[in-house]
Amino acid sequence: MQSRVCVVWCPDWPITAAVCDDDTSASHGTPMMIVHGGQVASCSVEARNEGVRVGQRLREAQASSPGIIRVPFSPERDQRIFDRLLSALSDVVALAGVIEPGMIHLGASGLARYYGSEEEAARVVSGAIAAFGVRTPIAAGYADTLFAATQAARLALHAPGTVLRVAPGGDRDFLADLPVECLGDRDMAALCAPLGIHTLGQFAALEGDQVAERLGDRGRLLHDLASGLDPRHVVVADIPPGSEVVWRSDEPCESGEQLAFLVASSAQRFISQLLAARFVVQAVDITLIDDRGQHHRTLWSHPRYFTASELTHRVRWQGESLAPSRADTEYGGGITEVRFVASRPASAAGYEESLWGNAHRSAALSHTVATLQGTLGHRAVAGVHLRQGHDLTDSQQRLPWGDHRADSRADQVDYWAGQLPAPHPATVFSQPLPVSVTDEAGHPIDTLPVGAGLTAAPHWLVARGNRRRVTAWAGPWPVMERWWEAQHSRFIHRVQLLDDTGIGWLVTTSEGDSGWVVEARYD
Amino acid sequence: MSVDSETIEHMFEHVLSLPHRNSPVSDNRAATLGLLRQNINRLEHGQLPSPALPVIPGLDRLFPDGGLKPGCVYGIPGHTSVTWALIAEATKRGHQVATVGSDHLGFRAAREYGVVLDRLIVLPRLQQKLWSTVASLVDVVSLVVVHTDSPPPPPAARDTLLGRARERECVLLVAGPWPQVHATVSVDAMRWNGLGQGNGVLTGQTLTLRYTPRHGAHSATITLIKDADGVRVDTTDVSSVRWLTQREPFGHTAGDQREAG
Repeated sequence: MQSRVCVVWCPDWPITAAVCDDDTSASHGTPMMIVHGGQVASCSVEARNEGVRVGQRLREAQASSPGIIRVPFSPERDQRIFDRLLSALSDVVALAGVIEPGMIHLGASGLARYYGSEEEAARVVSGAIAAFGVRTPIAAGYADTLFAATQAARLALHAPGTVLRVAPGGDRDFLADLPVECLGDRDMAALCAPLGIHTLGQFAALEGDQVAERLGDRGRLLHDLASGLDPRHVVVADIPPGSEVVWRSDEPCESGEQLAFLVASSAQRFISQLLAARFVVQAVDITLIDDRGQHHRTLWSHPRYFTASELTHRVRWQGESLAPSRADTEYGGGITEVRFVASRPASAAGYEESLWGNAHRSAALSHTVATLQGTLGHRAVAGVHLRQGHDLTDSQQRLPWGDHRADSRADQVDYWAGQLPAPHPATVFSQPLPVSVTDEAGHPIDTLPVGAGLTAAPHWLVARGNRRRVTAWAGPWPVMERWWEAQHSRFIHRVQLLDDTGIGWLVTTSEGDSGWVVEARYD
Repeated sequence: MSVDSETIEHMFEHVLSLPHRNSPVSDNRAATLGLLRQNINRLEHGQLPSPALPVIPGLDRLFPDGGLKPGCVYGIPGHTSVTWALIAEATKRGHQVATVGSDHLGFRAAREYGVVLDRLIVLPRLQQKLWSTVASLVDVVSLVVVHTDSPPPPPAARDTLLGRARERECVLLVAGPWPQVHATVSVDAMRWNGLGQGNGVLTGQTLTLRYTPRHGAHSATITLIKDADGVRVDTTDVSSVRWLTQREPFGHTAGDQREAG
């Protein structure tokens, strides 16, 4: 039996999200719009009634509706509020997939069986969404394929009961009359119009292989969609219940330490709720809200998964990191609200210990790293990340363990003009050490202008009263650092020296500065 | 000093919390899993000891145990090249390595020696929590490099740390004071090629390492060459490993010396 797909759509979701979010001035029943890139990205029903259209220029929109309220553009808010809606939906549907914020797809066969009919199921889901606080009409479309169901949902707003059912097996006929623009591919629409192809039916009538031959895989996919043969598998995921936990207090809390103590039980509840649903969380969105309503949001990721105490540590770090920024703004009492949102829940099954014991050490490792990060500081336990650059210390970064892997592609550092040739020094000083380089008589050596060499051959390397004889040397090699920034540009000269104990040194002097520093040691 | 001893007293506390966290959902299965693992282990390995931590091919001849012996402390010199040379092969074979206490490391040179940087955990110079941190790391990585100039922990705490390292089969490389190391690796000679008087550029490195065990008068040397082709043991020298005073051959294996438990 052919499986059925249901798509539920909340139109104007960004506007709805703004209304549902507590921290904006948006309110239901007024003309509102969201502007992005000088054009109207989204607008409310009231605005539309006054002639505002999506894609209109800002000026035109303001001309047609003078009293229109501008709501800030915030994709993050759209997603966040939608995640909350999904959690609320977990009571009425078991599985849902997100197409975009405002649009979900559900496996319809089971849903219809459970609620009696497809219409009834749509009514229940719409009711739950309305109960969440969504005031716009909610549309639902049923079809055999995801693409047809999506189109049905978009048309359903004008259908009775805002539900549009495409009969089983009727996808191709339903789609045939729709314009080619529905494919959502502007290039394809532009290509089809001169060919006299205006509807999906005409497009689907073309030979599939010929379309693929001329337009490649993308063409084939679009042709399949138009023919009612959506090859995409409908992947639905469990909705993690309670993926958001909020801690609130009447008394503003000032220190990070104190805050961490207070939110500990909320963090525990957050983690155990997810665990009860057999989820672990690898990334958590923590928002601290101060008593002036300002949001301080950070996304924390974890190499493995968070435990409650680790989460509490993150709150403490985040609270402490706020402290310096508080000094320069007129800041009130402290934090009154903390929100945890699971942003990357993963099934706990993947984190069970394996029989063969391979995972054992890595699990313990993550645990130990997390504990050490808790006591020594997040940045103290680090991984190495190499990147390009002239400066030896800058080009090897220490990133907090767990974060460093996200960017390991830069590990293959290619040739970089002005970089030091291999072999590289085994010791690189995090702070260059001042030394003096002198000639045989002990007179300091300087560089001649424009890379013309040194004033004399280096003979002694003197540091803190210790003196080493130079047996071989080469240079100076000029390096221009940050030549594109006038204030920060620096012209340096590098010299390699070898002392009588067999150890090599990389010493550097800056243009216009007679002192030398040791950058690195070849030992 | 009082702070130090207090820290050390608490250094193994975290170990107690470890077993409870192995499995996120079901702790009650841990016992069954442990039993099964023991059986597998017995079937697979019999009573054989775990092998030594591998070193760069050729360099293994320097070590009587064929590599770095798990549960032992080796003294290493302040030359960072030696650190990279000793840990390179272990990271290549998938072992996790941590380095504590040095802020002056050249990671590009490490990569030239063959160190897989993804397997390297780097901790900065620590004041009071140094040995408790090392104790935590010993639990979870195969090798810990410690750069320190502060005194080693007192004997009792040291024994606990070593016991832990033996049990977890972790090697410690200490650049700094440590009484009674298993063996010392030192630099006999270092030579750089390519640099002249005002011309050239450093190209290749020749490093002669000496291995001195704690007991016995014998020690051995080996010469490593590192250049554009990579790192290798000097084979032009036929007797590349030279036992300087060879009273008795290194006949024993890691298994002979292994303590029960």
